[in-house]
Amino acid sequence: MTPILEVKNVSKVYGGGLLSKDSTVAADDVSLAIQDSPPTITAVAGESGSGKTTLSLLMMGQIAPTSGQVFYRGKDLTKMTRAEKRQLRREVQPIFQDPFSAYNPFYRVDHVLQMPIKHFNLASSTVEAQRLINNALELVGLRPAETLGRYPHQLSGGQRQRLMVARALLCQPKLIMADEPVSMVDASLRATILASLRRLNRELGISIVYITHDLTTAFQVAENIAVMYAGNVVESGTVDQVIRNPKHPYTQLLIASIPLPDKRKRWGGEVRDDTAAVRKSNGCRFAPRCPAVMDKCWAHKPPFFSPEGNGRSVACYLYEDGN
Amino acid sequence: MAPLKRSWFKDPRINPSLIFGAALLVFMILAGTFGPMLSNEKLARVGAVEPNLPPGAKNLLGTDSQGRDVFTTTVMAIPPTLRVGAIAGIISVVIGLALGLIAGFFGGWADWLIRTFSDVLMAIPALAFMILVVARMNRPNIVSVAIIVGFLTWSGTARGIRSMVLSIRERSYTAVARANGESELEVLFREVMPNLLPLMLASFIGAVTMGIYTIMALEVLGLGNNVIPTLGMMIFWSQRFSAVLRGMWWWWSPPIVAIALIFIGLYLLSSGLDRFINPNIPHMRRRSRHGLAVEPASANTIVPPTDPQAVLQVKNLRVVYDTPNGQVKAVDDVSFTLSSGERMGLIGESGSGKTTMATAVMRLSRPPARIVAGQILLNGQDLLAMSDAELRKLRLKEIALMPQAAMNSLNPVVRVGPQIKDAIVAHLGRLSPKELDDRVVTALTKVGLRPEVAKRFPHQLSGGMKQRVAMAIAIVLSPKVIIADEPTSALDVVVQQQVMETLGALQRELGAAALLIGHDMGLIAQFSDSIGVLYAGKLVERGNVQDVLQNPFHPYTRMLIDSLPGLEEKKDLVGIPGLTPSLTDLPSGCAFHPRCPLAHDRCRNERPILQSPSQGRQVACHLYPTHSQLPPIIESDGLTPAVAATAPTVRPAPAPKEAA
Repeated sequence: MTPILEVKNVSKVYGGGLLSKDSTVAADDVSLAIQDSPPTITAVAGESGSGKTTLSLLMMGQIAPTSGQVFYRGKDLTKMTRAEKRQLRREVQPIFQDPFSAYNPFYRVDHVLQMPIKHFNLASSTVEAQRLINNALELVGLRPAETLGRYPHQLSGGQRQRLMVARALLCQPKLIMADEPVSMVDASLRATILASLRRLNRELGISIVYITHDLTTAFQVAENIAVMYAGNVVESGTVDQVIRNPKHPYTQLLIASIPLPDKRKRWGGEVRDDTAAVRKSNGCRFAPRCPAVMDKCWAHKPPFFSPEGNGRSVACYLYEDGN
Repeated sequence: MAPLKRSWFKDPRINPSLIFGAALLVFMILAGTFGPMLSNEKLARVGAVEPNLPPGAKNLLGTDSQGRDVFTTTVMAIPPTLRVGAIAGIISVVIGLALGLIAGFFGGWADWLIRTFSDVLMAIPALAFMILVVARMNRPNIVSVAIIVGFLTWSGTARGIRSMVLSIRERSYTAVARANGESELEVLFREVMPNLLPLMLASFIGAVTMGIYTIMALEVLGLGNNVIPTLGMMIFWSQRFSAVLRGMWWWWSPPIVAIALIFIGLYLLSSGLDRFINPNIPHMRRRSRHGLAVEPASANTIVPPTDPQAVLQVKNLRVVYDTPNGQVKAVDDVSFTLSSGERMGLIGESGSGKTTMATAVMRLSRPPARIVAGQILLNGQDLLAMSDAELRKLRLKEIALMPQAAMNSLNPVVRVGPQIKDAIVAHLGRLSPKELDDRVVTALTKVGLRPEVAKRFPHQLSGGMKQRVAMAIAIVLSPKVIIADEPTSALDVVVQQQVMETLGALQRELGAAALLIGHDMGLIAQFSDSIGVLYAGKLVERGNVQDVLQNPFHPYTRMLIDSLPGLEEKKDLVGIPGLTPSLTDLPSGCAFHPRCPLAHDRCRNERPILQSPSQGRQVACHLYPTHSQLPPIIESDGLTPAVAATAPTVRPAPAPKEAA
């Protein structure tokens, strides 16, 4: 089965042109496949600077990879016709982190809902358009009477973010790219937005890429997860495998660092700090901070090992011989 | 929640300056348009009337030495003056807008070319250049002069538009528009352009002012057109024929008054527009020599007894924001005590008043925020009753704040070491350089940084390291109370854990009390001994952190805990239905009642006060003391909120009475 979206050995290097000596590798030989039969929610998790947002922009075709290929339904993004690009633009819909800057302050919020209908010819009459808008709003738990006709500043962050989900929904997407959709929303409203994302996945069969730094929400909404560190995917598998039984030392550290609302649970993981003496190496990017670092970690970047089989992979020499 | 339809004249951004400026200009335009129609233009011709007459019934403003009626001439002179300004303004704005848009939106070499060209233009002194050009003209025509002024002044507009476009391009709404299928041109015209309108208007006024000013200057110098009367020419004539020396004030003053009115109108309009675009122009700050004027506690507030054990005791603190629509209570009647060595966490969502609270406890509130009532007792001394000088001595030495985004509070052009030294010198006076250096090294080592960091600039440090520097400044004088407002909100989870561990170790070493303010229940649970829950500016629950987490008394606390995703089991994600209330429009009674599944009539009408249902616990909820613990909550699925129907937005009646 062809995955709906596939990233093959993609790298993205920023800078390093003629005038600058500094270059940043935001994505380093990343491969990832998003399945849509059955529709899945895949989490891409990592800290700031891990390259997760770059990866999402690459996947939507908004930036071109320095090397490697991105396929949408088996078609290379760089070899698409105009019509295919337009289809990609409609079928892969983004949801952004900041529910405040996502609205043009000049317009009422209706603007962002009417535009996709107009541009993608989704309705034949204004009555039908209104029906589509009302449907989408109700799907994300908003009442049209309480939201439509208002200016963005008259709605709360939670309402605005749900409205953004409704907007994505109107485009009849096959895949939603949600980049930290709840990190700027209050805790009490976060769950509601995540629940509506999950509902889109379950009831409407839309696959979702959930990009986040928060492993607890990733665990709650997603089925699969890819953990990124400094532009590399270091571990991937189902959330049950990866979060319940993390293999990569970085994943272990991340999970141990999450403060849980229960004093009986220990907080904090083991970490070295060798970043002052960073050795220029072609090896594992996590080596300077890794508590289990070995000599060969500095020499070569570890390939993926499958300690348990069944789709799980870890880029760490600890699992070289299979366990 | 703001009302659905707001009339434009109630918009708080509409300010007197804008209205008076616009009115003045409209008056001048009307005078210029209808004045000439109503008066006999022949009276403005040389020799039309008897010369040198003072103002009288026949000639309202007298006549000049050339036999012209001054009133008629002034009225006739207004339209060409305004027209010149308008032409210059339109040309300047059209060119500036077009080039600014191209430079900002498309960037690349076009941007470079336009910027270079506008830099060159900006270097040309417009007036001197114009004098040169006009002096070489055979018969100076004011329209062509206006056109040249327009061409000389577009670069300011272009720069403004360019930087505005660059900032708009960064907003995600342009990305949303693309996802909605808009083409690049549509994004430019539909999303970017409308937001440039206020700036364009401001630039237009600037160019008009510049145009009128330049032409006036030329005319007063005698480089004008002798045929058409303009205000500048009138001033030139009156000066040429020594009107001042001859005491003919009625001759030289009317054109000056007219031009002054035009300039005042333009100035008021542009400063009004400026405030319309940036409504947050700060107020003047008053220094207090004798403490703040706080209200005495009113009759129906319960003032908690002074706790001699407490290192910090906050009593009935109230902080308001002055807004154009009246006062908003951001912190309302909050009381709590902090014993020495205690770690208290204060949790709240956005709009709960937690940051307002943190700054108020330091008495660092700045307008529009204002502390209006309460006491803040630090070792029994009331911070609100002190003078600024006394307070300055206490800050950092007794009570220190790590502000939100503390890493951005470091001065970017000063190395870390001197910044820490400044803090020491401000309190301890001059110390020997050796001693200062020692103290800096100690402070840096304490927060887990190497001493070399003192020689670095803030931008050379990572976010976590900058946060540690901010911490070093906070602890350098061994304060008794440390307030940390979201100290790790911008940090990654691993770094966050390390920073909090250091903060905890330091707090223990100093024996200081710590007040951690934040929105992350997990962080507060892990760090604190006790917790206070803020909702809409009020403390709704307080107690030992583990007790509160396991057995919350307030329905809000319960629902907040339930909405947190965990790592143990997958559960249904349930949020709190409804919305966080806006402080400008708080629900009556208990502020949480519209979202509370357990709300009853009393909650809608009467504000609950803090009470103690069990030892060491406090809660503000009407369920107590009739209940001994929180009854089970039947929650909706969060998507079709059953209680949201009563959310603050559709609340019909305003609060009948609020217990102050």
